[in-house]
Amino acid sequence: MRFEKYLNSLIISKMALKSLGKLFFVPQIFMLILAPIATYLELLSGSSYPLCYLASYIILQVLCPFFSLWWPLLGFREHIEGGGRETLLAYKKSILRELIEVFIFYFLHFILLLLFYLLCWDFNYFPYLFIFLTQSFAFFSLSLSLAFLLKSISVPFIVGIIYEIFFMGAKAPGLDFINMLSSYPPEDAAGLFLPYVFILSACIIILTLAHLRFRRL
Amino acid sequence: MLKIENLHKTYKKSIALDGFSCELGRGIYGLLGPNGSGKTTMMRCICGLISYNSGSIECGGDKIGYLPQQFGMMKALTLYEMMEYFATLKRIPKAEQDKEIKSCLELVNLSDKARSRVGSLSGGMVRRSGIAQAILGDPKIILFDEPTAGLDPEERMRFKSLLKKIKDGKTIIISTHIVSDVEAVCGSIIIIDRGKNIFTGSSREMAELARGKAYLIEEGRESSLSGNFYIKDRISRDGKSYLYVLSDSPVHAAARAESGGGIEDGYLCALKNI
Repeated sequence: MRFEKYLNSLIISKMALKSLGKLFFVPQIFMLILAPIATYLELLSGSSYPLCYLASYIILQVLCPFFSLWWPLLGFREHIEGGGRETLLAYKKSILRELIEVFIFYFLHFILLLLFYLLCWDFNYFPYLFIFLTQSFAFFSLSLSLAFLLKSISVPFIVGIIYEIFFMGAKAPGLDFINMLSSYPPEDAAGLFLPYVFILSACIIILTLAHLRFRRL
Repeated sequence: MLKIENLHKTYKKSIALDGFSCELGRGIYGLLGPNGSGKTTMMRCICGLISYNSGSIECGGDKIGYLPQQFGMMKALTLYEMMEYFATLKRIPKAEQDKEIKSCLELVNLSDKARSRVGSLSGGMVRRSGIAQAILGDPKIILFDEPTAGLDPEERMRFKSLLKKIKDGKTIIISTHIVSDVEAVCGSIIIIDRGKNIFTGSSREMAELARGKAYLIEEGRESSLSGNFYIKDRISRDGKSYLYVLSDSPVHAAARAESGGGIEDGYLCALKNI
């Protein structure tokens, strides 16, 4: 019975992703094709190895967290703002499990990308995996919370893009906390986990609370 | 069996349901009422889509199928895939899904469109696919909110015959403001107005409400009407213009009594308290 429940949930996630059509491939194109190509071109242009390592880290920071919202928002669009919302909600009051599955699916892609960097160029970004996870989860969680509250998927997309544009380089003293996308790799263990533990916890709470709003028509 | 008792639901400024009660056994029920009378709110309460302020709804753990007023979704999926999606949401075992989906699509005459994308279907077909998803999984309680909206006359006829096919052992509620939709298929009719159940009975009982209350009076003589009355129509007869009036008080001698008794007249009498 429990196994069937998980299986059903996986089928729902799969169908939601299938409903994206060609849009499904956008994150894969950016993450698995364009990001490695950018690194390759950087190396071809004669950049030094450490500089290229840092440039790729920044590429990962900019591209990858943002795409954590692509599949959940577009895949579950009908549940959030579509014409089928009322019908879907009549049969299933919660899609939290399915959303988390889609996030895991996304993050597996990300791990694949990191593995690719490690194997091809010996760029080891795995020590920063927790940071990437937090950043991605923050984008995922906050955009979904916004979508649940506003019953719209376009606003979270716009907010996500604006955030990327304005805050990814915010390094001014006192503004660091705004910048989830710490452009440079942290130097010590404290920088590696703080404040990311707090961000992650806050995002889990916000998503759970916002999901309560989703359950109401 | 569906039992609704003293249901109250208020939105910020308006009362949607005001102590609505009814008890429904197996059969087809027509839920009639003007726009804004609380029909959709009641349907949503039964489905658990919205909470209510007080009262109770008991459905004995029966599965519910639901077709809302607006239905249109997942345009990139094929019709079969969309049905598969609903079958999974409804927790129909995987082994039974194919048979169930095919039988539902056949009932709504969409078998040949199973491999077509939902986005390529016409409005009427999307509506029928909505009906198919509502009956998927053999739910014992089925709620149709304005099911015939957007269907052409032939499709409406087909919908009515579909209801006759699936009605056994089920409680089916059809919410509409089109009286003729419920006349042919519904064994019982419930009239809801301003959130209250103002009538429950058969279509014949509803028609009886208007018996002896219908009159034709010459146009211009409306001032002679007293008590509760409602001018339903203007009719030309023998070169003269008449008003078709429903009235609870006898109308003056010049008026011609009509037989009345149609269920539309009965509906209006219940609604206008005539």
